[in-house]
Amino acid sequence: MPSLISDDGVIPNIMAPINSYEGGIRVVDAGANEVYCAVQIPDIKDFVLYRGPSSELPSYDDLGIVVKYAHEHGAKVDLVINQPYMVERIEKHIRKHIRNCVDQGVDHLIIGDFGVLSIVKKLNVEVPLIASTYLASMNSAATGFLEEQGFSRAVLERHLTLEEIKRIVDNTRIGIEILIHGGGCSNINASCYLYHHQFPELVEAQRQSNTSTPCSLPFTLQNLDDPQDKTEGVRVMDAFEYCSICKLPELIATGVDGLKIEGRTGSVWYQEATTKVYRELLDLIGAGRMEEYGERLEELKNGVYFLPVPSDFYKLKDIWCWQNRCYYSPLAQAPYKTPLTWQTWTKQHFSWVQK
Amino acid sequence: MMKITVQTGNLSLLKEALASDSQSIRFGSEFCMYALPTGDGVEKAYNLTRDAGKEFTYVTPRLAEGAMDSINEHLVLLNDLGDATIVANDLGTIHAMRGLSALNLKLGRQLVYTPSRCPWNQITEHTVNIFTKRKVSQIFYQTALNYMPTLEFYKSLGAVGADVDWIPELFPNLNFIIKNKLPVSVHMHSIPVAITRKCHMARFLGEEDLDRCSRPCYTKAYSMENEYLGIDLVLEGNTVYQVTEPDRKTAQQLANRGVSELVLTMSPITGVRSLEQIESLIQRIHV
Repeated sequence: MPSLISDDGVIPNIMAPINSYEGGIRVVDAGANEVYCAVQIPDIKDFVLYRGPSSELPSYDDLGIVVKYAHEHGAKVDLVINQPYMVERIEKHIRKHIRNCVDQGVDHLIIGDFGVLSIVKKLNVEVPLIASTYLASMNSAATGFLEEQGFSRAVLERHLTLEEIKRIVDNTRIGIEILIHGGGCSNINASCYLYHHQFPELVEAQRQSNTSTPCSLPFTLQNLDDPQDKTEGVRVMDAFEYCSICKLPELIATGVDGLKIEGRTGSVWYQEATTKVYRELLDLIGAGRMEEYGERLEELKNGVYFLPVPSDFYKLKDIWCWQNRCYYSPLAQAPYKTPLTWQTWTKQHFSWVQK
Repeated sequence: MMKITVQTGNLSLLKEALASDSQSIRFGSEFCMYALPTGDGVEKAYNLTRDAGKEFTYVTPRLAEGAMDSINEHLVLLNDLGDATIVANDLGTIHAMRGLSALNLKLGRQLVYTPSRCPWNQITEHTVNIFTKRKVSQIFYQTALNYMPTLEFYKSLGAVGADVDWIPELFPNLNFIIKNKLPVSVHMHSIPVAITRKCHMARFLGEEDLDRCSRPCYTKAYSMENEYLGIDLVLEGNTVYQVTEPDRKTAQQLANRGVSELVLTMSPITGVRSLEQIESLIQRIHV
């Protein structure tokens, strides 16, 4: 397999998610160059949109521990304040929150709204800013706009092709990060209002269909003009990607600065194991050991090393490879990608069951 | 005076809209970058609209690099043609409008973050007391433009208006935006709940190449029902919507609040595809 390192030969940084100080320590040890995290905002904890407290560090003290450990080990800490919009009622809480986090020594602030940006600017903090996916950067004109607003990096929207990513990198002066692993949203992040907060009807719908996100739910589709045109049980919005291990050489060749693992709500085990795998693969590519990289890929695809918690006993290949759930795959690929039931999985793996 | 605008991305439907009593026309694609009109189509729509004595607004979606190239051409074309308003749903479009002095910027729905587009019946997962619920709902039923620095930011970029949805709980908070001199347009009928680039409808109908999509969304929409969820959603193209039904009383309230425009989209969801249907709706809600 040929080496496809970017023109400048630089291997991008790994950005790993955490939601606990233990996770922070373990992903740094696993080889993350940067960790990103949020901290619970004490005064507005009842206002939950996408993710609840399980995705956040519980206190500023925990953030302080993570920052100290990361800095001692040459890693950086990016603070997520990607509140997708700002209103006056929560302004003072957000301002206090940003100040508290900056005081803990974070290295970057991830921002997803121009109202939040105005607060950061007023606070006059000297911390570089990263544009969140909530700002939906999908072209180099958008990243140029974000540069003018003072951002030093932008996280691109997931719904792009490798060619488009490269073109953005080539035409942009600020750093570019892309998401590479974990729940890749089926919808454009900034335009999706299918919030993940839990309420009885959604919990039951998810339980019945063995899914964990609203966009994976099955629906009955009926043509508004033709009642006969009806299909039941269609996971019509389920288009999310999962993994990038096979695409790493091509992703590096785009020249992006950062490869971001998704999963702030994941377990420490998932966060650490995923980081470790990507670190290992990037190091093999960086050292030009492409044959070993190829061999390791096959091992990983047949292993259960770094799947999300509910799928502990599935092989990567079973759920994701066979269904082409790769980040930056063709945009309209069909057919539908549905998780295998345990019965199907068993049949596929133990031929005596079928007999 | 609140005006009625008809929105379409289709030249044959445009002719129906032009014959109607609507005061202005929106032409283009609000959500899909694969459904952009050609430069010739934009020019024709502009000239037809002007010849009919109506205002012309060009609607643009979120854009990847290739689509951005097309939009750059369209913006230069419209700037040369003269006065036109652009509905931008992408920061790149705002960036590309710099220096094109004949163009007016209007913020599209995708740039106006609005949490109450969420279709769930509950707005927080916590079991909280009634006072907290009230506080949460006061935050929830606002838009990104209800914060003065955000509003001022967009106005400093030249924004002369903003689009919002027909969400009655939201309407009291439109007063703030209008009072601070940013005219508001309200879309009737459909609230965009989730938008994808990996078109859900195209995938469902077996389209294999979005660049050569046969545009089934021009003629079809599907209701989406999950028996446990108990929420009515509709799929049209790459967007999942909640459907709302405009009425005269609410339209009157919007007019009283100072809303400047109601937008009627010709689509399978609204079921409005002809002059008669446009006229009927205008009669029904006109204030």
